[in-house]
Amino acid sequence: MELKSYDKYRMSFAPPTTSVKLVLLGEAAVGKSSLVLRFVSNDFQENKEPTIGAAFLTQKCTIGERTIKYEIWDTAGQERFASLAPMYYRNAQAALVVYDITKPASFIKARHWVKELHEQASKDITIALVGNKHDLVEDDNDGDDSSLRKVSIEEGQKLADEEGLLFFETSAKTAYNVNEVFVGIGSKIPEAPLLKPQQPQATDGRIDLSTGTAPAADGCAC
Amino acid sequence: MNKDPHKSLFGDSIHNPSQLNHSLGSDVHEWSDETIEKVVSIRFGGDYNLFIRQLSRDITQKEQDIILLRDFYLRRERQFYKVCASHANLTHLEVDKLLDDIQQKDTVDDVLLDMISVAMKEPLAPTLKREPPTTISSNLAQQPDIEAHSSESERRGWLRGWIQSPNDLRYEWVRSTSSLHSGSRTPKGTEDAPIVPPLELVSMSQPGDSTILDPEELTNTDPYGFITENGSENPKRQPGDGSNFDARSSVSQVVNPIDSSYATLQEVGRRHDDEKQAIEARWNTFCNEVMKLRNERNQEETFVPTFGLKALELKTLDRQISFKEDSYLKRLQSLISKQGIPPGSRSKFWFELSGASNIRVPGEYNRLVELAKMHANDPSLIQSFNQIDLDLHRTMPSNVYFHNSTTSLPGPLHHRLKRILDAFVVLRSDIGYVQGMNKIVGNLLIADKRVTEEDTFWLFVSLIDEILPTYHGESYFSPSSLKHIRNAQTELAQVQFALLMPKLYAHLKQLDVQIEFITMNWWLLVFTDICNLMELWYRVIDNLLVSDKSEDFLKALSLGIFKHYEKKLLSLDNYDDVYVLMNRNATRNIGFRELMEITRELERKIGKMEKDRGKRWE
Ligand SMILES: Nc1nc2c(ncn2[C@@H]2O[C@H](COP(=O)(O)OP(=O)(O)OP(=O)(O)O)[C@@H](O)[C@H]2O)c(=O)[nH]1
Ligand SMILES: [Mg+2]
Repeated sequence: MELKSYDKYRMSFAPPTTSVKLVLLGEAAVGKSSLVLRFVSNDFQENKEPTIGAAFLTQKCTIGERTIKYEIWDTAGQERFASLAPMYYRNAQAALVVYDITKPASFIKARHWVKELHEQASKDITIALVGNKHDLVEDDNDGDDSSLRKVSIEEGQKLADEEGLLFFETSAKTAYNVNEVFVGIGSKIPEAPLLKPQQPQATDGRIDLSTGTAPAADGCAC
Repeated sequence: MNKDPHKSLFGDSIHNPSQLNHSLGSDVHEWSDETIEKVVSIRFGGDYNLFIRQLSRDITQKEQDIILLRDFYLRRERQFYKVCASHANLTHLEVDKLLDDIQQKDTVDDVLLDMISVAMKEPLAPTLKREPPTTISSNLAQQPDIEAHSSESERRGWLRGWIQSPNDLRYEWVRSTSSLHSGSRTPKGTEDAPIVPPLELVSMSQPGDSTILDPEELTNTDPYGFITENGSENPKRQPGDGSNFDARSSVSQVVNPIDSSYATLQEVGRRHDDEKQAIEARWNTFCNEVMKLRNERNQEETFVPTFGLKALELKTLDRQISFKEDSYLKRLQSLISKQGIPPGSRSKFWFELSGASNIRVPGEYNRLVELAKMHANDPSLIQSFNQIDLDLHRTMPSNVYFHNSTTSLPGPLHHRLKRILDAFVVLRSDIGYVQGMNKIVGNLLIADKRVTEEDTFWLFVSLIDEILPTYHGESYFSPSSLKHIRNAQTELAQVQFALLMPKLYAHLKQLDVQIEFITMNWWLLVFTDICNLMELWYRVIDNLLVSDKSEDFLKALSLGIFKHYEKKLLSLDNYDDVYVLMNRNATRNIGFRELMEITRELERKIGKMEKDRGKRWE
């Protein structure tokens, strides 16, 4: 506890930390939890237990002058739990929509998530489209028929361009491009509404008016 | 077989071996004198010495063959047991194939070498290992059977099966987090003590857990008294906090670690023995009473369950009782909440209380497994099958029974898990496979290895059909139940939490914590994640099986975990610390008995609230 108050004290001199609520969406086993694990602990586990419900983690990330504290909600991928997702992406300022570049179905699912986020999440949410498991296609030559790659970079980039998303191909296994995703998101997050730092977003239902971010879509989300 | 087949037990020092190639057969003793003389003169050129040598050689050869065969079949038999333990539902052909690797050894020397090397590996001083179990079981075995009537003593014998199974559960659980560090810290001198204590120690300590597992007292030892890496404060997430724990444990290392841990071990062992007996005695008394009553009531009927589904039979008994305090059901509930079902008889109780013994149809499971194989590509099932396959290698990756970390191969229970889940998907295609089931079945599988795969399957089915809450007649894992479970979380957070723990509620609310985000995970996983010490989860199931209303129990348990952390939670001042605290490691150092008693208390209150609300609506 002492540590924490000291932290606060120190922080009043440091550049303000902005908290960003970030949610991960995507089909089961595309590597959402692995990406988070890589980002938070710089670690990788071959047999990561499936996520059920949603897992919560935090990680700080410095971008230029700013420190961003990500409050990450890593959701479950199984279709069965899709209806729970609004619980977690409500009020989120950022989302990672993840697919597996070796699984075409996961890309289709990613499209759905992007659409749903645009319809249901807050209007100014920053979304990154992430094609994961890049390590599996690393040594591919172009036009190689035996390639494991099933979703091309171009397809991913096209979807991102159409929908106004950031786009990355990553590997949680080799750490390729993982930090870049979070740095990329961080630099796109507008500074203004986040200046209310760790302070709880006021109490009860009385938050919304003061902040631009909060639940514009709240009413229709569920 | 290309070695000299005649290399005998006693070496091959016999001269002129080429002449000794003609086995005489086994009936020389029945030959007439003339025949012997004839054979000697024709086959051995009249040399009796050669004849005798041949006889002796024949005998040795036969002995050798027998040794080889015996060794071969012994190894086959062992392999067969192993196969049975790790697979089930194999055809004869498959079994034969699996046993094919077992080859007959070429020479007796190989067998002897084998035996010698096995013998060399055996520890010379097994006392440390063997002592504690023998005291426990021999104590039990020596309990005199006072009963005179034969029928009565038979029943008691049967009852003893319920209560006094000497075998403790043994699950070898590789502790993923502690093993790395504890390896270097565990006392080195005790060679046959495992470096990483298997979880069986945790399970054995269960009766006295509230004293032994007292987090204040033994923060850096595991229940058996070995010094372990301190994990009480969730070190994974807060690496910075590790330093002071390190310091503490190294201090305790200085004081001769071997002696002190051995003493603790003995102390814990003794305490454990005593408590275990006391608890068993209490259970015995209770079961004897119930059995006697049941037998009096059901003279004619041959098959009457002792407790019945959710202990319904006890409710019938209770109807004859004039004083509420004597309620058998209440007594069972209280025994279970205080002590849990004794591990040795847990599976039997589970099987009856869950209703598995009622719904089980012999042979049906095998049929379902076969059906699952046949319909592997059925479009209505394939999604479930695929998801199961995705999740199998992600289920308990740190448990040796599911995943062998040295060979990276699936462990023996992996296959059982797959078959059980597949069979369930076939049986209940309306539900299909839902993530989280893998953990539940996984936990059930390691609960008691003596339970067959088939029985585990039925136990799982009845947990879902009979025990877990249902919503509008739909079972817990039905697609349509998800939103009801979600609503239950909202209600839990907004109503019961607010009314029963107003102070904590206000605090969490002020921090903007979404309580339902936390409890939702617990519910979807039926607490397998938050109660990730096996023994605690088994206790949860014990209590769930006799709870009056399972939804109330789950709510009470959720609140109970919060209640347990009330002080700590009140001291936190931002919501992510709350989320991090209430993650899966939260219950690591919880006293089981304490948690279960809080839970029971809360369950009572919730039940009463519901009743009052019901009345108000009327
Ligand atoms: N080769 C490779 N495998 C990966 C990568 N990321 C994840 N995996 C593997 O993919 C599997 C699933 O990873 P998870 O991180 O559990 O996937 P998830 O999206 O969180 O899955 P759910 O929680 O079920 O939704 C695991 O076996 C990982 O080891 C990657 O970048 N490369
Ligand atoms: Mg996950």
